[in-house]
Amino acid sequence: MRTITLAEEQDAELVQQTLCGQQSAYNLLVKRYQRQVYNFVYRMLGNAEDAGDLTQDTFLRAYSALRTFRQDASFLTWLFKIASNLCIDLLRSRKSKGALSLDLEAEEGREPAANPRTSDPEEAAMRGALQDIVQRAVLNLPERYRVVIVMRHLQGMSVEEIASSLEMPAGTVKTHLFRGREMLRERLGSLLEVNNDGKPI
Amino acid sequence: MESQFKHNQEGEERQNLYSASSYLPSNTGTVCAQIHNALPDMMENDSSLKPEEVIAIQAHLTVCSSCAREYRQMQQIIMQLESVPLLEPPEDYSIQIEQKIFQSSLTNKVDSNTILTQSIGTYTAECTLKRRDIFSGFMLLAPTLFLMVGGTGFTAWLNDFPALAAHWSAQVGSSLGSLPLLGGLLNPIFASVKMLCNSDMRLLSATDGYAILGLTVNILLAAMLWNSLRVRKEIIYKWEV
Repeated sequence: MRTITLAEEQDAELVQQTLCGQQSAYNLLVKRYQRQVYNFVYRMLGNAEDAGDLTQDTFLRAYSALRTFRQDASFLTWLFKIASNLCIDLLRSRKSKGALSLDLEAEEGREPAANPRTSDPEEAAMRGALQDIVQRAVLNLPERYRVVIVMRHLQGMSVEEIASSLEMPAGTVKTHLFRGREMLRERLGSLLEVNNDGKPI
Repeated sequence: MESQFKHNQEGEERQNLYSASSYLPSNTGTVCAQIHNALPDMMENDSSLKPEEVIAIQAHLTVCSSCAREYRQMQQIIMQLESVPLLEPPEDYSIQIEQKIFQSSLTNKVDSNTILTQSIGTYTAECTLKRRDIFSGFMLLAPTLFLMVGGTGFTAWLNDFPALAAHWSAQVGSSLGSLPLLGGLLNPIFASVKMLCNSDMRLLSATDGYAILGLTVNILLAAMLWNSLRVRKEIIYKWEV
């Protein structure tokens, strides 16, 4: 039996209120989760404009399917399920159109300071550059690995939540996670070693 | 799942792994493969490995530099991924989402010829159904012109081409001449066609030409009438802050 957190109870209450016609309740749900959905979509697509559109689409789809929401998963997990389907559809249509998915935009001014712990600007710059390379490498992963890597390590979801969101066994999620990380290691291994030997990352 | 730690049928290999000698360098060939397969569970740290399995793996990592390197790099990858900061969305999407939901709820409900006022959340809308402007029938001008020009031209082709083409161009030219701007542009073209074909003047009886013109005018009028009968929704949104 899944334990239901306080936040999930509040979400369920807001869903109920929305279904009873209180639009402002859904507004609260959007405000609560738009940041996480936006970040997930952005990390999947690497493009701010598409990320904005798909974030809105996710909430609109969720709204029209709200009656089908059951509390066997959290509202956020359910949102991620809708968002990941939308992302995969878009990535496939992009692929069929032959578009590149390597269009991670420069996010100057939008990206928060790399890490508040680092006071040395050189180190901060290096960290930022490395993060940028890591993000590009994630965007180059095949969709099935990218989605679990983003959910697990960028959104902080548990394997069980990912399994529930993607409707696949937890074992498959772990395998995809591992293969995704293997690919990242192959591509970034030398870079990580240099950083490890030189300055601490 | 590759990991043999959870599979009963491979219990023997699992015994090997955390037996005292398993992580010694002499055994590393097979053990490294097992360690590699166990790393997904090890990384998750979600108690899918037994404590003794974790101890065995950690012991192996202390003596096998290759596995230790793989494990370290994996951890670094995870550390890098998890230090990617959350972005702030460029705008608050809740406003746009609320508007879109509101709009779709309206368009679903408004289906009769009435004025409707509705409030959802922070929005109030007045939805008025209006008859289309009769001149919007001109949207259908292009297909009508095509029919007119094509139909008359085709009749000319079927009969004696040069003489009829001259008459056809005169007819079309004069009918288009009444159009603002476009007529001034097209009229000289048709006039020159007429001049060109005028050498052999055997005119189509005037009634044929007028019948075709009459027909096209009727088509145009019918299209305008049909279009004007359709209704137009006009929704005014008021956002109450």
